[in-house]
Amino acid sequence: MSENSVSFEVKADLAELERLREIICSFGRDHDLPDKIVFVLNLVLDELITNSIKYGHLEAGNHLISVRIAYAPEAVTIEVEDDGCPFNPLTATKPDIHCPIEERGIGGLGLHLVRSLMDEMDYERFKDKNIVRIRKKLIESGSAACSR
Amino acid sequence: MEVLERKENDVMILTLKGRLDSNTSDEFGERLLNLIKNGENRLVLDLGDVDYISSAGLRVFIRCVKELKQTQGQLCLCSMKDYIREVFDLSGIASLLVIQPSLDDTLRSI
Repeated sequence: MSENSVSFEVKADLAELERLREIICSFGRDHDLPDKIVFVLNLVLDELITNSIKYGHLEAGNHLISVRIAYAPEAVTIEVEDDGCPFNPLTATKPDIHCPIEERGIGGLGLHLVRSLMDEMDYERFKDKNIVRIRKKLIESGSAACSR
Repeated sequence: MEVLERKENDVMILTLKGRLDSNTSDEFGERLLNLIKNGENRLVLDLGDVDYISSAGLRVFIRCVKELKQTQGQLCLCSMKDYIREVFDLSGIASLLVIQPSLDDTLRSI
């Protein structure tokens, strides 16, 4: 592991989202990232891990989800790997965000946000694992996101 | 997440502090839906101290707007940080409810 990247595993348990927040905030401080970027990284990882747990049917058993976050001056790249059921986020149904409230569903928003907020996203099924890679260019800035 | 509740005239004002994620949204959503079921139909949510929201949090607002639609009620959000507002815009929820820059603006308009 280089000093510009951090690798860790989270249990397939939503309670792990708090530890995820701490790791990302620490990564943001280490690389002096704008707080808006820290927020976006936290959000997309939250959504991907939540999807792995829900759609990969990882609730039962002691599954681990591997995460790697790498910093470069031009972009942050993230890789999320799980051993759940095959799930390609790129082909998941997209929500209709323009329909009237009466017809508005409540699903699909998480991946929609990931696709909207990231600059690149790809998926691979390799050796019975789902591997999602995403990339965020470092061109924007924002304000505080790490306080509770 | 902390939620402070107060009523001003006929308007229920909730001030939120913390994170609206998969671990906090269900409880908050239940609280909001209970208020609506108990007759509150003019609600203002001050999100000034909300520093994180995920799709789990956004779904709470979709459910509440659907519920309020049946009683001709109104849900207004205010004071949100720019990057929180962006998530509301990207998800299309910003067009389903009223979003104001400040609580004062909201109370004048509701």
